[in-house]
Amino acid sequence: MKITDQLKQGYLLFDGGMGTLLQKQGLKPGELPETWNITHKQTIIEMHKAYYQAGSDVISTNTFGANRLKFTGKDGTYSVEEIIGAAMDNAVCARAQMPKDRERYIALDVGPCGKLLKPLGDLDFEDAVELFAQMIRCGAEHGADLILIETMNDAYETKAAVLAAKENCDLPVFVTNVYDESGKLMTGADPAAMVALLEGLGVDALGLNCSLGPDKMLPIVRELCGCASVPVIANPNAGLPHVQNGQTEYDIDADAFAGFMAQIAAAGATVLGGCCGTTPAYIEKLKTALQTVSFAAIQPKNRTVVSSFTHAVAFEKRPVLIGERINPTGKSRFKQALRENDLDYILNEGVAQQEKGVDILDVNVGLPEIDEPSMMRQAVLGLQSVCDLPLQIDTSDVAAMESAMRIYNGKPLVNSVNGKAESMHAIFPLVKKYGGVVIGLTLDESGIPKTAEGRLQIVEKIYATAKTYGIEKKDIIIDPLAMAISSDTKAAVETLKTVRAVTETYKGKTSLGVSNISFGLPNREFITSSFFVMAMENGLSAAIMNPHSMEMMKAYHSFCALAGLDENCKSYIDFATGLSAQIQVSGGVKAKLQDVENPLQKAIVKGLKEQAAVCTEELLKTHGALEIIDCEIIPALDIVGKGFEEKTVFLPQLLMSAEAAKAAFETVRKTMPANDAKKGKIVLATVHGDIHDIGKNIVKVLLQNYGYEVLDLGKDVPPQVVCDAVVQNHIRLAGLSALMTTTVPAMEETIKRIRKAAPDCKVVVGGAVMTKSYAQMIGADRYAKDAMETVRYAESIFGGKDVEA
Amino acid sequence: MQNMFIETIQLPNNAVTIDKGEALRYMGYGKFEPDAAAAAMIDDCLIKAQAVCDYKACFAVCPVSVLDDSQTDLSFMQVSSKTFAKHMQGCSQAIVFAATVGIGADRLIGKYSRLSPAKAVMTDGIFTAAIESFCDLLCDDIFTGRYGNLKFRYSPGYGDFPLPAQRTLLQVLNANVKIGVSLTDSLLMTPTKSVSAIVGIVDKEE
Repeated sequence: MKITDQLKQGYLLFDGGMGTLLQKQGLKPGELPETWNITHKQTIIEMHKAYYQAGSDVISTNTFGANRLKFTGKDGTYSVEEIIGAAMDNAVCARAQMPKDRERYIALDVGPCGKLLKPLGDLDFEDAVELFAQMIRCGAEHGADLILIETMNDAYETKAAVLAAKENCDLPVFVTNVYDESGKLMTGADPAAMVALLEGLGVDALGLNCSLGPDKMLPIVRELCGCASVPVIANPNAGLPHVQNGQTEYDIDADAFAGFMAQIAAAGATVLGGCCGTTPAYIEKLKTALQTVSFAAIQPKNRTVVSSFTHAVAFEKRPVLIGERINPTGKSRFKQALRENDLDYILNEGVAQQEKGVDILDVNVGLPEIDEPSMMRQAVLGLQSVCDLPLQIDTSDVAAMESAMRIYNGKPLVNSVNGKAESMHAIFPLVKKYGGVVIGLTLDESGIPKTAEGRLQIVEKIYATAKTYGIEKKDIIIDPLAMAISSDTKAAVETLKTVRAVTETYKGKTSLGVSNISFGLPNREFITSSFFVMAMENGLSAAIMNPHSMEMMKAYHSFCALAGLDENCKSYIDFATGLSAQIQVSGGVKAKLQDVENPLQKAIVKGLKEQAAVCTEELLKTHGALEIIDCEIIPALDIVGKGFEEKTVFLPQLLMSAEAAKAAFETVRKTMPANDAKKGKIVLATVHGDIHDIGKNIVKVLLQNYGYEVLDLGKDVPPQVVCDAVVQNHIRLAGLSALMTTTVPAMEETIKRIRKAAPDCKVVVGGAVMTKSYAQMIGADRYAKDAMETVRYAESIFGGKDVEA
Repeated sequence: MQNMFIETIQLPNNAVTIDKGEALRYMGYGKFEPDAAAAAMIDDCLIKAQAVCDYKACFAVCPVSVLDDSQTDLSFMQVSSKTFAKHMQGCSQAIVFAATVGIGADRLIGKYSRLSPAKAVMTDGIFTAAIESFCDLLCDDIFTGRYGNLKFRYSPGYGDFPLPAQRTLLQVLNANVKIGVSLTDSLLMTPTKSVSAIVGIVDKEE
């Protein structure tokens, strides 16, 4: 019988701890347990046999850390292939010695690789995928029956391992994560987020192991069973460890363990075993205990859900808000940011929308003249590092879609597919492979049907075609398309009819880009917000909308309160009271402006960002942009810069002033032509191997203040990437930052390459470990002890204020 | 040799009092006070920082024998360092530990690093103070309570204690699995606000 069939019919028993047993047999601290597959073959075989004899249906190979980071195959060490080959042999050999009374399975055990993935660590996502792929190919070749990805404490690494399994074998994939007592992964994901991610990727069973005893696992098992549609696995430790007579012992014995496991089974977990501290005796007792708990297969939950790296968002009664602002359509400032590769602008848009209360961020970075797949990838990675909301990947470029879905840390919302055969055949395979909820537009080869009936035919076609790809209705959200009522007054009526029919007849979910409805009309928000309320009343599950629009937020919060979706009207009250406080504050700032001399200068010197923006707006009514820059902003920056050099102003305040100046510049910029002249272009990078970038970002904001265009290459940047950027952009000054002594060689290498390819480019270096003599030694032109010194050096190279900011 | 028993500790974020004076020092204030606007922003950062701290540590006790003026045997590794050998005089046991404020710190610093350099510098200082305060709590309260007088904590990279020893240290503590601490290729700990160290237990006089 296949293991996936057995999962449906009864409990499946895993084995117990391996590491603790090996220690008892003499494994030394720090010794790699996987080497015992070769050096202590018989011990490993006996251990597998003992678990089979105790009643385990599945034993896992001794390959937890058998990856290429630990087993290089060089300098007399074993290779991954040797270790996994031997481990599989041991498992197969143990099974061959068992009677043929029932099915016994071998799981290739895959543990975490021991490094943190980028951007928080230095392991690239694709390198992680390849590292796991090597293990999985090897296990599959040697006859593993399933892949067990276990003890994963990072959702992103888990995704890399599952993708590697899906791309390199056809075996069932089981996944268990480590949750701490707060019920979260080390990197912050909760159970619902992991279920969304893993079911999206198509795993066969999921759950948790290690870290906790069965008693502490119970509440997390309940949460998992409450949202999972695939079988749930629980492999707990034997409680907490302590030392007794020089040996590590655990505080939950086999009998107590079995008792707790019966409760875990009653809570719905059907794949059971143990982790640290458990032995064959525990599995034997567990098997006996399960005889009293009747088996019930897990039921499909039919939830429409997307996730980020921390949490899931479900499309249920309360309509979900999708922020529409990350989209260049009709926004010249946004288009300029895209062309200039100014990611910070996009990230700020994301965070601002999160603060307004949206649930999901739409990400659209399509512009004909840019490399959309690359930009989409950067935007998704960037947004994931500043905010924890799920993302809606919004693009018509299939390559951009795939590259973003691949590196997305969670289960994304995908925008969009439509009723055209070409669209469905391109998009559905991606949704099947990477997981996701996809927006289905009601249009096809013959356009957008005028009537609800016509659109519903397309809805049926989309549902049916998705099914042939193994995509369920719950993973599709229908967008019945809001069309401008200015060109067809019946447009809203037909759209609303479709929303209601999808909700009631098909029990499906719907979403609308609501603002289209008012296209071509004056005061569009009046119409849009009323339409929004009507759509929600007809069952709308989600809306792509502008959270900065007061009318829209008013409509939303009022609707939720009136529809009984807002307990004690809490959200409404927070929204409404927060609003009046906000109005008072901005009024206060304006009032204050009247009584101060040089208010903008003072705001910048004091580092008051909002005030600086408001002051600039006021000043623009009476003064020219250049006058404001020359007479207010620059003098203010000089005051602070000098103070910093004289040590009367400290770094945080210098930066607050820089940010206030930036806010003032942004305001001025709105009134200036898009391509305002810059003094010069400077490349900045934190060198390869270094993942600190605060210092570099400080330099960046000050250089920008002083009118330079900064090409920010980020952190952990390979030497050649810096060199290429210098050459391609004809750069005259490059700034490199390094924090650790271990990364200075990378800095030296970067300088060497720049010297060779672009001898005229000057290089300034800085960072915690740098000194003047160190800088000379590695061939830099200049050491700058802080950001101000870098600015002064730049001024000397580009010859001062010959061009305005 | 007996097995090393590795114990883990997880503390709620209100269990550690972050030394604000130290945090200001890390931000570059020295003995000076921030002005009102900066102070308000720092307080706001402190609240946000505290909320994401997830204090975790794992530790084990190991035997120590100082072999000569530059070699110390810790049973799982031998350390070549004169400063360390001198430091461990009078200890026949030591606590090896790794501690972290968690990945939330890097996320918050990373976020501000993209959006507000001022807040990035502030939170960076606060989290540095937080990991120090956490280590102080571990050593001064928890370890001292259990094992008596301790030497000050000594980390790879101090004096002539080689930095690469950190790899062995984290491996023997199984720090990646136990508390999620690992190393980059350039020997940087992740999460970055983490510490690994050895604390000598001062022998009791007979």
